[in-house]
Amino acid sequence: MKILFLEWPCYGAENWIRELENQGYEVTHMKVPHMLDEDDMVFQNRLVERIKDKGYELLCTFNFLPMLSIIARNTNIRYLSWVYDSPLLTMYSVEVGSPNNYIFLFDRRQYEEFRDKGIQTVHYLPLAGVTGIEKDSTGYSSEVTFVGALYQTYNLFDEIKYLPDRLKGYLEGIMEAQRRVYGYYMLPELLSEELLGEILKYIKMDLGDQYWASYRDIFASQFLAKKTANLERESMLRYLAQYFRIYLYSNERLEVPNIINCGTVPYGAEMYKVFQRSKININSTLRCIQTGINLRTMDILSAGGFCLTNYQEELSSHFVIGKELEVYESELDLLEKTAYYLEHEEEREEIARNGKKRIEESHTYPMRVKEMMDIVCRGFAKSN
Amino acid sequence: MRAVICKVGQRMETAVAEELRREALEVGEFARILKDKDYDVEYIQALSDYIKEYGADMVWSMEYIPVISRACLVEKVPYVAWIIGESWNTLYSSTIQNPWNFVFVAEGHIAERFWKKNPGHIFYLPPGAKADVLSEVPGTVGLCNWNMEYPVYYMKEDCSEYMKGYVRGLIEAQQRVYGYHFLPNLITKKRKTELGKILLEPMRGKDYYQKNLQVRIDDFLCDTITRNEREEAVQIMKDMEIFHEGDGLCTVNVNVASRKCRTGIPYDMLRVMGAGGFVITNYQDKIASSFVIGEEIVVYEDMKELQDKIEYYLEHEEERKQIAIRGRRRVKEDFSLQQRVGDVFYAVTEGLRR
Repeated sequence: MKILFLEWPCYGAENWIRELENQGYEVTHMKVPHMLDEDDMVFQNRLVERIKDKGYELLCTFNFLPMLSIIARNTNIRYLSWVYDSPLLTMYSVEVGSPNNYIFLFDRRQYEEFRDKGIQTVHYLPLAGVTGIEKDSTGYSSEVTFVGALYQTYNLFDEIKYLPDRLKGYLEGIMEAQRRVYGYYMLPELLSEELLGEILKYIKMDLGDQYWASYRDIFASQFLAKKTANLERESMLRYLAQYFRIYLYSNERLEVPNIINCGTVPYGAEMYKVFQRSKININSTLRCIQTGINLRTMDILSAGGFCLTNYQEELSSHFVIGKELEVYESELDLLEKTAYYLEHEEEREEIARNGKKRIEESHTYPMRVKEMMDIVCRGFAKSN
Repeated sequence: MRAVICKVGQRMETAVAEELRREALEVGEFARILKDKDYDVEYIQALSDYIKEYGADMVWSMEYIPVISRACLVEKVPYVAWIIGESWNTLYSSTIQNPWNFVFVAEGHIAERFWKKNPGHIFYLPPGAKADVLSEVPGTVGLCNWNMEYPVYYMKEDCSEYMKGYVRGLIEAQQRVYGYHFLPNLITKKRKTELGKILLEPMRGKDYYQKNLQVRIDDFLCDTITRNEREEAVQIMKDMEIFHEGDGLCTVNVNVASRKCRTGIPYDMLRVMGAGGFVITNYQDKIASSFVIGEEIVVYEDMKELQDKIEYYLEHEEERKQIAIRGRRRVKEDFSLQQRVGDVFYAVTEGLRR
């Protein structure tokens, strides 16, 4: 099968491409400098010509781009997208249901929601970890580390210019509540029709008829979930910083005593070293990822770092909690476990080793790529 | 031995009176209208007179009523107050320290809260129910909960619009989560102080102890959530056009336990189960640990699930009946009223001996 792999700036493309090649597929790797613009007709026409000219049969990308779905349909090829971002606005495009698509989602609840709506093109597949990462022999340079966004600037809620006090109070109340509840994403349910009507007087949300998502879904995921993540991450880091020195790797800063702002760390080898050199790596999953295990968790474990993550329902299906990673279910729980595992070095290191081993045994790129391609090939066989 | 039961409008009164008679006590009933639970002087006088004339050895009520405690203090007779309802406000009365009180609370964490006020006189005691089968009004669904008094608090009109919205947000969120009471952790010091200024509790006697602000806020939020939940549950049942209100068992009986009751079993639910009724209840830790879910009782965790389960069990008669039978057996074994009354006598006797 001839595959065209379109790489926009994303994580892990080389791992996926290498594995496709290892499994015998002919892959052409096409880099694009930025996220594709749906209105860029020049690019689209060039891509269509190239597909027809070279006879590609499958188009692959990380995340789902509706424009590519249209192109795939028009050129009668398949489109495989592996989604690692959430929330992903493009998943609400009507193009998701196009029969040429194979879309792999790592959040089981989200996958079930799509299937319940009759969308057959989505499949459930946890993300993968990277194997063969060399152990860094430098030793520990930090006790507690957090790598990730704080959503200080990437949350639309803070950009809202005006909301009436009562409405603002309500939204802040429900975000505070959501912060305390793990394993249940309740923000959408807390937005009644009446409330949404009120919100829409002050916020313009118009995706056009190419997107089927409700205003409720959009507002909950794009505005509230990200703001909740901001509140949660800042609160959690401030709280921990009262007791421990925290190394924060982010494009945003938190000016709090005991928090060392280290800037960003490039994805890949350098990031893995950060995880290895930290005694404890904290993960905090966006609430709109309802049950799934995010990429950060896989990254930490792949590097052999000790992972202390918020509870997510699917963790217990794929890992042994307490033996391969640890979870927290409140800020106090996070604090206590951080203190415990800083003290209990042997136990911590064993958990980190076990976590890495679990990735190598059960969550590798070869396994995931094979599973995806088996599904795609079955689809090919059916249509032939 | 002679006991007087003060009728204060609680369902368990009749059952307890019968049980006391079964224990070979003579039971008198004092049924005067109570104008004020704290300072009804005429009530105190009338009860004192009755205690003397009847020769009562103890006085009972199914709620803690300060005026009854005052009368018992005057007449030096034990006052057995067994609280099975959802309100414990009267326990803040300074009369709680009365050495003739023997207060039994169906909610463990509440008994703990007040124990220090009168050590050796305040106890945790789950309610008990009789196991006499009652007939069912067929094809109906109803609410177990009865005598619902809430909220006793209200927010001042001049509180900020932001705070009104914020509180509503917290309530709506907690309403969707069963088994994890996150409200106490949610309110910052600043917000607590702000809420404390705008939350009023009209029904407090002059001699009441100060109620902890956190408790006040928590009670207010829980009462509001519980009321909303019950209204929503009733609406669902009414929309199904088979809602039955009033006496008699329904085919499906829905229990919406108060959010304040985290360590107790609701009496109303036990009463229905003891009478052979089939119960669907909201999830609550103590209920889950006292009954086998799915075999003795059925649980729901959101309103959609409640509706689905009502419809399911209306259709699946045999399954429903078996669950009701097992539930009744459990109530007979673990929540017998006779056993509870025996526990009360033991505690009172020991207390008097000390």
